Amino acid sequence: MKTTFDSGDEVRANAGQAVRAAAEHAVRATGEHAVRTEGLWKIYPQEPRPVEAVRGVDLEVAPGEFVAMAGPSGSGKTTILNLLGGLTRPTRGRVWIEGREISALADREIAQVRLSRIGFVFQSYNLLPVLSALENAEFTLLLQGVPARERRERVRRLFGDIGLAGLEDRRPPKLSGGQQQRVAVARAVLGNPAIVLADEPTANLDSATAESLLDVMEQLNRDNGTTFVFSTHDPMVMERSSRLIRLVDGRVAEEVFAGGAG
Amino acid sequence: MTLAILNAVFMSVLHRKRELGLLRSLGLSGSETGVVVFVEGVLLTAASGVLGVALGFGLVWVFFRNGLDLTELMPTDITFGGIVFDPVMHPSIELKHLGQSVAFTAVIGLTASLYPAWQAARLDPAESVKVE
Repeated sequence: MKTTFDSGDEVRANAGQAVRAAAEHAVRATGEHAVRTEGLWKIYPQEPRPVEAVRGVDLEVAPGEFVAMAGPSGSGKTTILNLLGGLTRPTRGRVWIEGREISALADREIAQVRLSRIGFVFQSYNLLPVLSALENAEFTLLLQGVPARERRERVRRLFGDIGLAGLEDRRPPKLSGGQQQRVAVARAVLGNPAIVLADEPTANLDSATAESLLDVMEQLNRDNGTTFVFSTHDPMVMERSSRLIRLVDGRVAEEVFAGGAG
Repeated sequence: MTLAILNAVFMSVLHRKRELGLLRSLGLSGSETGVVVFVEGVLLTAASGVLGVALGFGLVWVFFRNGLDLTELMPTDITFGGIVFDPVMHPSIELKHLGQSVAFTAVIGLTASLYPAWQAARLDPAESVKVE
């Protein structure tokens, strides 16, 4: 794996090393990476030749990291997120979530890991249009079997924290893009996942709305220790991540910790 | 009728591919997603069955409680195969026929929901959530 080092700025380099040290400390403290992959390949059988979307990716993400994966279209960002979330199976290689190898699990067991440990945020929000904001947000809790009263309390509390108070009864078409994405983030984090996988979450938002959404995610990362892994084209997301992983042609081309330390 | 229900449930699976993919991403397994679609098909059949029976009873009660008078068309009794038909016909509703209709509808609903449920269970979640 190729890494870069911004030797021109000692302060930034020290900051980057501090971020890396914090990640290593988190792994030592918990004994596990939030996410780990080993020799991950995803090949789609297509004519005239198979498409190698992911080619031998080794990743380690510590608990509480705020990681962005960037790269041109077709570089494998979304496929890697899908592999990490168990939405698709690797052709070769292995994926661990909190030390549990999900690539070796049966469909039903992977679904259980997703329900209890993984949250997804999609570029196009993917809210259910017939449900209100509150009902959308509480959906994961409903699947987890949390009683109705507790669900409503947790949603209302979080909505208050992330600027959605008063919008509980609105349906998605009556919400702005930024509000819909906040509801989607609420749905992803309410089940207390260890990791949130966000696929270009700011792609459909203007920069002010994107910035405020990132504030929300950073706040959740800081307060709850939730690990975030993004795929993104957005320079703002890259700038605010604690680590940037650049992908090219399905491989990790570069890894930069915040501050510039490789 | 089977084809109509099959079509309704199957179209709903196609149109809601993204929604079903979302359910997978939220933590439902393939088989659980299939069960959701199957139960939906069964409920759809049950609701239409109940509605159909109620409408049937209603129509019979409102229009034919005094009999269906065909004397304009048949001024005298008609004999067919040795049986004499009264020109004023009175519908009769028997519990047995009601039971047969319910059983028939249930079998058709269950059968017609199986294939769409199987399709839903096999949806690729990664592809489904991308559907626009």
